[in-house]
Amino acid sequence: MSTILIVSSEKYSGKSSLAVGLALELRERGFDVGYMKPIGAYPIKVDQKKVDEDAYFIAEALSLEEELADVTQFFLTWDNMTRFMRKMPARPREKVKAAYDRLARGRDIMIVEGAENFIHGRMLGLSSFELAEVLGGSVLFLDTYNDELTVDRIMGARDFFGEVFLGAVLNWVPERRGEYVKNLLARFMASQGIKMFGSLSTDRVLRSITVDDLAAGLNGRIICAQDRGDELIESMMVGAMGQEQALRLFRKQANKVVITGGDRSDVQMAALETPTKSLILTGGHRPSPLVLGQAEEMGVPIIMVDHDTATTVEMVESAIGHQKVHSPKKIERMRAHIRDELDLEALLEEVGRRDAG
Amino acid sequence: MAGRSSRSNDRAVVSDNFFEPRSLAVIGASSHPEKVGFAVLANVIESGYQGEVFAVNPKAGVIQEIRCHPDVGSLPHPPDLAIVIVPANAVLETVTRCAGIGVRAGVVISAGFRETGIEGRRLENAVVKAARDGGMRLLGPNCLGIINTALPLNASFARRMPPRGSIGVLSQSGAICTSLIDWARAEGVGFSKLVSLGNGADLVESDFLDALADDTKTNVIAMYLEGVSNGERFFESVRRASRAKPVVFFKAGATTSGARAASSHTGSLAGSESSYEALCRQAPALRAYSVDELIELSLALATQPIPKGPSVALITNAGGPGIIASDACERAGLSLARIAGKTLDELKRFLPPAASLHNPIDLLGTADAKLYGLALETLLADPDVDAVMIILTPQAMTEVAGTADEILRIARGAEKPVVCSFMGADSVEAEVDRLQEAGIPNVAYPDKAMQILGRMYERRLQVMRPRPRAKRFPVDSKAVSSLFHGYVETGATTQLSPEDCREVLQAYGIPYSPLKVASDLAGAKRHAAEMGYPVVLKVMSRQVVHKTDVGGVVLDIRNQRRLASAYDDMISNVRRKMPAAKIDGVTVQKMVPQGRELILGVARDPQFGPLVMVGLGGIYVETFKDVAFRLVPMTPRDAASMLHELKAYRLLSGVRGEPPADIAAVEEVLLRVSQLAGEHPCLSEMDINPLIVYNAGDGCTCVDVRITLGG
Repeated sequence: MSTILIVSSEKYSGKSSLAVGLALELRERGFDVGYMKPIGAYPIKVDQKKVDEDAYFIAEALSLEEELADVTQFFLTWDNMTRFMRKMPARPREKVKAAYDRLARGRDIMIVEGAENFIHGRMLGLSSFELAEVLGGSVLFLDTYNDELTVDRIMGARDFFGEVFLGAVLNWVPERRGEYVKNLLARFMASQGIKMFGSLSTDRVLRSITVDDLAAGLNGRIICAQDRGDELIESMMVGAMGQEQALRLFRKQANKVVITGGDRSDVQMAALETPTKSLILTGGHRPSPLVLGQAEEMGVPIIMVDHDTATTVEMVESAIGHQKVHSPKKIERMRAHIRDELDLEALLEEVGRRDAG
Repeated sequence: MAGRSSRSNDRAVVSDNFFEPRSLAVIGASSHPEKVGFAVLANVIESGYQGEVFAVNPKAGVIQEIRCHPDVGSLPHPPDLAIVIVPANAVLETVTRCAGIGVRAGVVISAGFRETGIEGRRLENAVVKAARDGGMRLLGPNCLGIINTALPLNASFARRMPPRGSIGVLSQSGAICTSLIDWARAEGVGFSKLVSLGNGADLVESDFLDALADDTKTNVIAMYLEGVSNGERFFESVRRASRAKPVVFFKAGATTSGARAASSHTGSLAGSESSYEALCRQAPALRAYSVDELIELSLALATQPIPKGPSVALITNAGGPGIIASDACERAGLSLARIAGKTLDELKRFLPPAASLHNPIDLLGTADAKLYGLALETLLADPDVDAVMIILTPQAMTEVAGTADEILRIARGAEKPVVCSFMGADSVEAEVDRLQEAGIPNVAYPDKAMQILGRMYERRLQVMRPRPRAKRFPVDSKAVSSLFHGYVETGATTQLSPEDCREVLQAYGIPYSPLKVASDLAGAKRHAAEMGYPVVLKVMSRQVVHKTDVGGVVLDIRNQRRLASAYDDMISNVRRKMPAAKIDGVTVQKMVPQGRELILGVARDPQFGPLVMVGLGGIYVETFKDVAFRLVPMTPRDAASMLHELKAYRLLSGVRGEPPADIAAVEEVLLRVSQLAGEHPCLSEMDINPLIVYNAGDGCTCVDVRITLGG
């Protein structure tokens, strides 16, 4: 039995995608793989029981629904934290360990997903480095690529985890840094005794959000082309200029959502003229019936929101790129990245070596 | 070929069924005078239509002395034209049944379609499909109808019929149609045909334009447009029509606010102003900048011969208006004719001694009708005079009616245009009507009258110019197609990499300076060594638009040591000034010698397709907006004339002893760019900035190029 604990230093770094992708790829190779996420982030209720949203989705993707009760033990929401400060839960580490033992029984590999960063959970003695101790696994460090910070973060994590540190995987590596990461950076890390198992390149689809999710997140209403709610949006643009300038700008970006005022039919038509997946109209103005008809015919959903443009932009900005891996299409893409860009053999070998040692 | 023959079929349907129907059915005819179905039937009857008229109404027995048929199926034979005025939700069935019995043309006056939203649009699409499937063509829906004054037929719900005349009117606004008719009746202006296009769901402006081009009753085509449904086809139709007769149009929605109103009114994106301007030069067409100019210019073109030259003789009975008209004359690109020789002698003979014999010819306030007549006759006979303009101010001794009589007697049938400006309103109104009804245009203000003459002369210049063909260069179009295809396929970005931009230029034989992309200093050094110093280093970052402002450009780097320090300075400058910018790398370019800088570009207009732009580079383009546009395909004359159009042209041709620039090389680049844009519809934008132009014979070179692809 091997346990791989996936940790990172920030949220939205792609831990869940890596966990589910890795689990599926390892299963493909004949391993019986389990999954656990002891500290949850977003609780949702399923059958009257609180489960982590990501964990729920992953358990479903891995057909582990029956084990869902054991996958997550604690949510460190502010509410819970204040409660815990008054009265700590009894023996949290033992509780996690017991669940882990149930999940791991008979399995070849357990993938354990750490909390949003590796300090989170410390209050309960369940931060990632404590988890590694409790569960006895090795730590795989996932870092979102950053020109200046990546090297220090990986070396720092190695120092922090010490013995149990397996190595690192980079996520969202821009195309222009591909060569650098594979050559100079990998060589340097090797010279420091750190194993790099690969780098996952930036993928717009993985960062995208569906029109439906975006509309829900904005508390908006889709007023046409409702059947296109599952289209994926990769970026946004704001239309606050004349028609000709808008056309020039909008042509530069594909698969985008355009945010503009409901009364700006010129900008709306310019958006429809260019590769646009959806229109968000702010200020609660309905578009002209002609624009509405055109959008319906072209299959471009229009989302009406009551917020002003600045607020909407802020909300959309945080929604794009902070998306979950909750779609089969995204999981397939993640698996493809793992197959093409990660050295699974090296990872398995390292895990095996440690287990043997 | 199929396209061409179906278009000539369309023209036949428009000319025969819509313009000259031998029989028609008013479907939805009503006995209630407040209903549109009543007004249309009444108009058909009152217009004196001689063809067979059917009325269809399931309930009414006899309406306006016409026995109603209960439905389309009970008509004795299919009418040439069906006028549909039933409620929107019954239009689909009506059109389907009409098509079913073999009706080939329908005017759908009913509203409640695209202009109402999603359901309306679906309904409109279904109606069009039913019509087309059944071999029927439609005008409308949501239109005023159609009028042919010669037939005569008023198949519209306009209150009255316009007088007979030779101006063919197409309008995308029904309301403009009704006001034009009203105005035409008041001013004595006549129309040949009037078509209200409505939503243009099936037949559009180009279809009727094609038919009006062939219509012998129409001498001038006047259009009120808010946008066009297919710019490239419209360009072709205007080009074709313009060979036969002047095409004048007024385009609403020229400003940002206007465009916004237009797109919300039409549900389509109006073409850019630049496209319409380019269309006027290339098709050619005359653009009116106000609705009155549309009418006044159309009327002048319809009734008067076109001036053969720019020399205007100006007759007036007051000094002030003469001066105003003289100013306007120069502004309109015309000149005041020089009065000399026989004409001068003649004028001296009958004009009072105090009168001004030189142009403007001031007959003085005492001028009577006879004096006006003599002056007009004399000036029309002068071979150096190409047009005559007559100003009349109603003074105590002025014989307004008599003068009008004289003008009518002399100017009617003259080979030179005569335009009047009877100033004022009350005391000249009756004579103005008389003049206009007899085909002598009158414009109340002398400057505007002169402007109309200037526009008429513009038509002359347009007709005089030869029509060269677009030039084609041997290029590697396939290489560019496959390069573009690669980008479109992956969908990753719409912007070509700088290296790929160069591939495109290479394939189209457009000269450029070498460029390489490097992700770090080592790469930059390698590239510089390969291409040879001196080089230019530029930062690559999507966020940095104005590179120079943040220290993102270093020119004239002469060796490796300088390159290294320039690289370090550049990266740290950009980081410091724009911390949010992501630096993708740097470009290394061969430093090129200085020359005159132009910018050149392609923009894809949503209606008219690719539009080629040229202007003087650097700060000039931003400050003075000194740019010229042409639609693709461009002819060699377009390339030459667009450079001429620039205010900065003299900087190219050489100022104060400076040698001229290689204008021929720039023209060739323009034509090659035009060919590139025309052959690759997925190229949506291209910027060459700068294009450095050397002295004549030394060519030019593109330094920075950006290409954006799009759908």
